[in-house]
Amino acid sequence: MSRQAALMFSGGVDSTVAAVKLLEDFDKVHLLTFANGYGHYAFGRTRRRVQELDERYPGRFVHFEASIKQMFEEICLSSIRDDYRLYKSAFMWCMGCKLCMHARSIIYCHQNGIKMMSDGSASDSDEMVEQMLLSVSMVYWLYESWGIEYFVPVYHIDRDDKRQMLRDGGYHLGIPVLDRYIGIQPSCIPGELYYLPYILFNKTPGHEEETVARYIASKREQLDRVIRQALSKEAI
Amino acid sequence: MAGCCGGKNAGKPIGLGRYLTGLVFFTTYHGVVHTALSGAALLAPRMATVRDFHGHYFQHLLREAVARDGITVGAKTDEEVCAIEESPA
Repeated sequence: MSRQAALMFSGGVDSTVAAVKLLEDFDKVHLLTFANGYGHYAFGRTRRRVQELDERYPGRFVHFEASIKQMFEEICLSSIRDDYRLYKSAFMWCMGCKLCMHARSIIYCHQNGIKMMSDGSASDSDEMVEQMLLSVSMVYWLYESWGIEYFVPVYHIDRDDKRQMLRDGGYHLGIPVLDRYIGIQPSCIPGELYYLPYILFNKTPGHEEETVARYIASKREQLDRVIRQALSKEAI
Repeated sequence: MAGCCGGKNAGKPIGLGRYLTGLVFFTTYHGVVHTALSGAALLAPRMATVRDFHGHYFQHLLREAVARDGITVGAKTDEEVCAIEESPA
């Protein structure tokens, strides 16, 4: 039986390097791309990156795209007013969205018999709430409880090294702006708005570890229920 | 490496020009989004939740940005903004 892993994939620097690295240990890598339906756009960029990978490694990747809109509305949006009052920050939009992506990934892994799941989380982007070590750890436990091993293959690889890997491989790198490359992965308007004060003013993003931990823990039951429901429907 | 206090640039001073340009960009971007959300809420009432959430968040951020809360403008400092403790060898 071939060794398979899944990877949450946007086509950006981190997830592209992660995809290539996974080929060292797995025969087939499932690239999972999700849209929450609220300000996510330009998914053609992800498809172009998948095409680049397919040209270099034919038959090694499977690309799967899905909407998580309904799940996002149920888990994040339905309580956003109360959550905002409670946490006094908007991090839960990004964190809630990412949790839904993880829940959908768990469903995909179960449906396809995949036991290994990864994403492009990176320590040099840990100002982003979903890439904080704490969030990554709590997500690990979520996967573990569903019998899936979650790992982050590029977490400790330096951003410059990752860029160099893509340059060496002849991948499209987009337009350099500040210390990022733009135009290579989908955009998210709410995400941009949330990190705007950090980008423009160097202002620390408004998510303390303790608050983020409380938020993730508060969503755990809902996430488990949504996953259970989807898998039981499948069983029927 | 990032990770000690909310990102590698968090807390670093910025110039007055960047602050003012940033303020204009910030207000314009949020303003455009809020106008779009207000329009969307007329067509799809469920979008009213998103519009209201954004409105509160925008007001909150704008107050902070104008008050320069958590933003250092123009100051030069010799202190390391984000010192990382080295673990013993």
